[in-house]
Amino acid sequence: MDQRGLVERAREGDHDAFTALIDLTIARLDSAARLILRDPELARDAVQESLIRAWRDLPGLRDPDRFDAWLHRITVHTCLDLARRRRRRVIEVALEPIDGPATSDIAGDVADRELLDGALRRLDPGHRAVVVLHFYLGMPLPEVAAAIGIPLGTAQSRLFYALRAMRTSVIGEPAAVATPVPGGHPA
Amino acid sequence: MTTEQRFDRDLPDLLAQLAPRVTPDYRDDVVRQTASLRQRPAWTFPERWLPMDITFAPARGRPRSVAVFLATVVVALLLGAMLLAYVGSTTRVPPPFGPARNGALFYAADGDIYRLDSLTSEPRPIITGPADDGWALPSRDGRSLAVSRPVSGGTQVLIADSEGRGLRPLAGAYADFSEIDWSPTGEQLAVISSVDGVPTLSILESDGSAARTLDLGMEPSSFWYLADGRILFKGMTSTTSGPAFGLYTVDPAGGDPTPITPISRVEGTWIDPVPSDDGRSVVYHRWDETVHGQLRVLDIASGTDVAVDGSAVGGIEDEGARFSPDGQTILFTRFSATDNTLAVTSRTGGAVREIGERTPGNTMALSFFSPDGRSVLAFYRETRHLWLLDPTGATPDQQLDLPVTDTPTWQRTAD
Repeated sequence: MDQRGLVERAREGDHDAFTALIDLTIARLDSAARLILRDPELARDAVQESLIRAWRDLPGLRDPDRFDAWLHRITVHTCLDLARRRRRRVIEVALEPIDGPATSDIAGDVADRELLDGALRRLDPGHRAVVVLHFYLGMPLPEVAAAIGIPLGTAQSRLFYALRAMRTSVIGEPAAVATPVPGGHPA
Repeated sequence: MTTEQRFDRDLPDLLAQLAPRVTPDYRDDVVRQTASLRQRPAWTFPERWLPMDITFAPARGRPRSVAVFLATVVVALLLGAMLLAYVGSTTRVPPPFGPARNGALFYAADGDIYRLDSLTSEPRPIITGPADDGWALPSRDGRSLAVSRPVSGGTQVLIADSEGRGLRPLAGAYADFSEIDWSPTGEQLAVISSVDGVPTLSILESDGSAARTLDLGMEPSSFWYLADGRILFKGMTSTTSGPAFGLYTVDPAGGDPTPITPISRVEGTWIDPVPSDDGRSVVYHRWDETVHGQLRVLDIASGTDVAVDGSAVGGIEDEGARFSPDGQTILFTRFSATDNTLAVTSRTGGAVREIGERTPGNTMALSFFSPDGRSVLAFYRETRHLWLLDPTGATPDQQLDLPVTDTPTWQRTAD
């Protein structure tokens, strides 16, 4: 049965169908949550809470083809909610061991992973969510903006900043403007 | 292909390596939990059969008649006056800032709020029921608690007294509710939430009468009330060359934000700003092209901004700083290449005392000073251990046997 069929059955209360949906999505959600929250325990809480909410609210989903986007939206909101509750804290995630060959000259370098890990750690969860949804889950930027509930321009500026910060850490590209500028009133 | 293009191309692979996709060990737990839950009936989702723009239109109460309304107001005023007279005659409260006596601890578990009268007493549930209530934040005078509760359209803020009595909602529901703080007098609370997708600072009257948003002209984060009633926050403005960041103060009664720092294009210039209780200084950490994890103290009035001596040297990184209630000590987390630990130093730096357990790099403790400033309460997420640490090292640290899953909050009371 395809995913649409599973969603339709789960929406009607078929828990076996929902279990199949869990199996299709939980690894992806867990990875995304760990990247956004940078804390395996928090990610576990976020994914569990998201899937419970998804099961409970699935009858409210009108279009079964929007299941993935809908579930990603729930998960990202849950992640950001957990992160906000823990603001003023810095949360990190463990570097996982790598199985299998590296896929490129950059990606294969553990040092680069550590640099990227550090760069991600210095971003706030809202910026990380944009990066993860766009680059890791492959969502178009307008859909990312809709999922997080921010204007497209904000999503673009967050991605711009996050990419610049990560490039600076990993490949040493200098920031476009590194020196604080005087002034202070809003533009 | 440029290096930047190659980086962008490889970023999905790098991210996948940081968090490989494997079925997590809690998969069976999720299946079991959902199997035991009923789904909401479809008819309870108004978005399936009503236009959303009217579904969440704010409800507006209206008195049935002027006489009823006036009578209600008179009775409420009388009751309020009697209550104030009673409380004022029997209760001493601490000053809103600075050291205070340690009061009760509060924490949320399974949607209920618990109170611990002292570190050796048994926890008591004080706010219970079917609602999924979140943390409880005591007011600065220790007499009230703010509690969060999920509702349709966001999160509601409710307040009760410190025993959980008289629970009542404040105005509004807040989407993507993120931060909250009590005003010095306890007459207001401020929250950051999302309004039309934009982070927004709102002021809530603690009597429940009203709430309003502040037009800051920028996206706020990391806000705190200062002792003089102003609000300190980190602001992000959007410019044609990208976002710009700075620290500002604003009068919650209205008016434009006042910058207290230069503007920086680098977000890491001002991270986690936290004011001292006297409202004169801000401690934060900086992470930019020149320094990584350097604690700094900013004097709000003069703008003097100095690094804490000994911070971010020799490969260590310092983050998450806050002042002790008397403003003389800074509590922070110190990262080495392999692990991290809580630490304290004087407000100008110098000698550093590491306190508590050392933890692996990904599992730092959440911590804050007790109201009297003599202890540090530290919650280690991975082990779920809660410790009361002596920042001076004079007395042994004490592990607390509490069923907490997050850091409790601590009531301030009068000496």
